[in-house]
Parts: sequence; C-alpha cells; structure tokens
Amino acid sequence: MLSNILFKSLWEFKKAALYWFISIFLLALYIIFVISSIELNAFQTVFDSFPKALTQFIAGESGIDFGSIEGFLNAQVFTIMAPIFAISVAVNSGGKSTASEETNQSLDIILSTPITREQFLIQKISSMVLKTLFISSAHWLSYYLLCKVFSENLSPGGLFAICLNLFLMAISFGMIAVFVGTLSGNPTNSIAVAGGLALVSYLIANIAPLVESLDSAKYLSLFYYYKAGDPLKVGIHNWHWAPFVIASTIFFFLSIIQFNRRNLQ
Amino acid sequence: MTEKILVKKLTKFYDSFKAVSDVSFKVNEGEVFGLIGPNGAGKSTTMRSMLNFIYPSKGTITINGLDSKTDYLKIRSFIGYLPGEFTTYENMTGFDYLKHILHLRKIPEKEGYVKNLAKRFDLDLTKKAKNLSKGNKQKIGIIQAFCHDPDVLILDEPTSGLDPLKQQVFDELVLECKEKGKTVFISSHVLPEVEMLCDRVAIIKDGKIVAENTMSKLKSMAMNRFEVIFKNEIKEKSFGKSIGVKNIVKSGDKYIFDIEGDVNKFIKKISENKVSVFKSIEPDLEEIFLSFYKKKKKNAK
Repeated sequence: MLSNILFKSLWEFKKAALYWFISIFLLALYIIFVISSIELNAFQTVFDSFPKALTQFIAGESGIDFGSIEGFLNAQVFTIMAPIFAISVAVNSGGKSTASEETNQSLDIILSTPITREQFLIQKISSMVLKTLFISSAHWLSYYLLCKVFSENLSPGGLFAICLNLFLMAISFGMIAVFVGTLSGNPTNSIAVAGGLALVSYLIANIAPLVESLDSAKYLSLFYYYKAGDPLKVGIHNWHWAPFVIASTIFFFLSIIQFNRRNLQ
Repeated sequence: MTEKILVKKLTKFYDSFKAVSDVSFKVNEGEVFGLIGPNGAGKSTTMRSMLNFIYPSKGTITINGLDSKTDYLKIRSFIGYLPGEFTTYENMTGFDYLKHILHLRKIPEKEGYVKNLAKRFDLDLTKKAKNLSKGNKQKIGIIQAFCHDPDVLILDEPTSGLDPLKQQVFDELVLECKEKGKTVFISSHVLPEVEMLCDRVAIIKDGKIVAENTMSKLKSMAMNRFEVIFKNEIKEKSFGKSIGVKNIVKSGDKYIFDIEGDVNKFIKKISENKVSVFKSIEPDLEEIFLSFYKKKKKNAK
C-alpha cells in the first residue's frame, strides 16, 4: 500500500474511513428507524402551518416535505448533514494535499525522488476524489440497505442521483481547497477559504430565494445545483451536474499551473 | 577531474530581496564539498535551487552535465537529498517510511541496505516517528538520503540533533561514499566536521561566496598565526598594524600573533629580537570562517 503517493494517502485514511462509515450508517439507521416509526403525513400537517420562508430556510427552496420518505431525507440528511460530511472530507483532504506537506517540509523528500510536481498533485487530488467518493457511496449504501431492511420504498435511482450530486459538489469545494493550497502553501488558509465558500454558497442557495431581488443570486451558488432539481425524487438532472464538473476542471488546471510555477517554501 | 556539480552565477530574488547573488562554484566527482555560512546566508536557497524546488532568477546549475531546470527528473534519480529541517510522517514507522521512499524511487529491492544502515545508526525502524526523538528522526532522514546508494549527495545540516557517536557513523558513511567516487555536497554549522570531511569549502555570506578553495589554501588565505617565545623582553606596542599584526595573545612567556596579509615585515621585526621558539600554527575552520566573516564586514563598513 506504500508503493505510491495515492495508495499511501488512502492507506492513511483507512481508520478514518471506518469511523466515517460507522457514523453515516448509524445516522442512516436512526433516520430510517424514525421514518418507519412515525406517520409521515401527520407530521407534514404540522409543517404545513409554518411560514414558507421558514421552511425554505430549513430545507431549501423546495421547503419541508415530510409527507414522503424522499422529503424527510432531503430535510433531515441531504440538506445539511450529508453535505457537511462530504465537504469536510473533501476540503480537509484537498486543503492538506500539497499545503501541509509543504508546510512540514515532507514534500522536499518526495520531490527529491523522480516524481514531477504534476504527478504528486494528481495523485493527491485522486486521493481526495476517492475519499469523497467513499463518503458519498457510504451514504448511498447505508440508505439503500436500511430502506430494504425496514421495507421503506425509496427509489434507488433518486438516491443515486442525490449521492452523485453530493459527491460532485464536495469535489468542487475540495478542488477549491487544493487550488488555494497550491497558491498559498498554507493548509489553514486553504481549508478556511474553501470551507467558508461552502458556507456562503449554502447561505446564498437557501436565503437568496426568500428575497425577490436576490433570487437570481442563487444561480451563483454550487449548493443550488446540488438540490434544486430535487434529485432524490426526480433523479439525475439534465445539466445540474455541469457546474460542478466545470468548477472542478477549472480549479484542477489552475492548481497544476500554480503548483508548477511557484517556488516551494 | 570531471565536474559533477557546476553552479554558474546563481542569483535568486524574492521580490526586491536578493537571497543569493552571482553564486558560482564547482564540485568535482569524488569530492566532498562544504558550504558554510551563518543563518540566512543563502545555503539552503542554493541547495534547494539544485533540486529545482526554487527557480533561480538568473544563472544555471548543472549536475552531471544535466540542467537542473529541464532535466530535474533524471537528476533526482541519482541524487540523495536531506533538507535542513527533515520531517517524516508521524504515524508511519521508520521502516514503512523508508519503504515508501524506495518505492517512489522504484527500487524496493534496497530494503536490505536500509536495515543495514539502521543497524549502523542503532535505529529501531519498527517505532512510529511520533515516538522517536529528534536525533532518531534525523537518522531516518540520513538513511533515506543514502539508502539508494546515490552518485551525488546533497545534505543540508546533516548531523543536526545527532549525538557524537552517531555523528561519527555519519562521517564514516560520507568517507565511504568518497572512497567509492561519489560526490558529496554538505552544508553544516559543525565546522570541525566540515574541516574533517571536506576536500574543498566555500564560505557564503549575505548570499555571496566570499571564499572558495581547498582547506589548506583557505587556511593560508585567512590569516597566519605564529607562536613565538622570546629570550628578551619585547614591547608589544612595537608589533602593531604597520607590520600586519592583527592580534596578540600572551600566555606565560609565549606570544601568539595573528598576522593579516604579508608576513615578511612581521618576520623582519621578529628577527630583531632573540627568539627561542618560532612556529607557525594552522587556524581551524572556525577561525577561518570568522576571519572571512569579519573581513567582509569590515570591507562593507
């Protein structure tokens, strides 16, 4: 497992991966158990009496829909919890990919071997992508299996679509963290900037639609494309995956250019 | 003799700050070359430029005839490098770390050699780095630089944190490399070690090479020191700057004179007295270093 930078990075993630999977699975177990134990429609009548602005703020533009398992999962898992998990892993891994190796000078030894800066960076980015894929897949697998166990009727295609969007959105923020890391060589800066942008993006997607004059600002937010098409119910949107792919690709190339042109600290 | 490392007019600016300026030197094959200077003099900038971690603003570096900017991958295949602040991965054992480095170098079969080096340094490779002392971590750094039997070694403060016994093991390793015809480039603050190991030394001050030569020539360039015992009483004041005397130390009936520049006037003055002992003393590297350092400072004033 130590034969290259990617494998080493994944090997180091093995214990964290286990803890992440257990946490995601236990959360899923709790949520699915609750869903199977309550009358969702009765629950929904309570939320129907809430002001629309409040339900939009809590659960996104589509508001709170506790009348279906998809709506319940949207509100309780995929609006905040799952993005926090996936973005945390992506941003942490991306932010530290070059910057923390540079800060603690372990990068000097790696780059004194016959490895180019691009090769190093690409392996680090691959590691970030695979870790984030693991978190997204853990969500898909946990909810898919538990819905089967508790005989809940959840569309596997919808679950796949929201997990795909979760993965792509987290990768976009992870790539921003990688880029800031190659720019500054400082892991704290890269994690703070990418994490801050994720928070701002979340707030824009959930608050801007409440104010008519700000409504169009939501299109600037990656969080908007994550859930606006209601993938859990509808499936993969025609083009809402594209902003993530475009953002990730742009920051990928910017990172390579920046990492190559800079003097290492 | 083949030139193994050739640095020509290396200059590096950080914005308007000049970290190194017109640094030029060459290191021949099979030679141990020392670069000494105070902190911030430009030693690490020079070394990191050789590895292409820092891009020179001007000048060129060739190692084994290969350009450090364009052929850096080929260069890295035959170089062993130890940075000034070596850090390993805290959660990895020494053996896993060294195995990882050997895999990156695509020579995993050298694991046996790693164990042999660890034995010489009395290093337990099964412990995680977070449980090792600074000295033991440094041993891992030294082993990773030597473990692939490189043709050229670039070592920045290699014995930092090592106890005297392990410094001796390191010295033996360098001398073994020299015997095998390998080239070693060392920057160190441990001047007696540089003096013992290096064939030639360059002194760097404020980003400029102020002296570069063999140890014996540097000694003669720096200053001359004489021990004299007079049979008659002398007036110390008569041994002044006009005859090149820089410093006089009296210990019992013995005088130590430090002479700068031409010694003929001094010898002429000595001959005017009755002398029972007159001998030349070689300054050590520390004195040479200080001599050049002070000389440049004076010139700058």
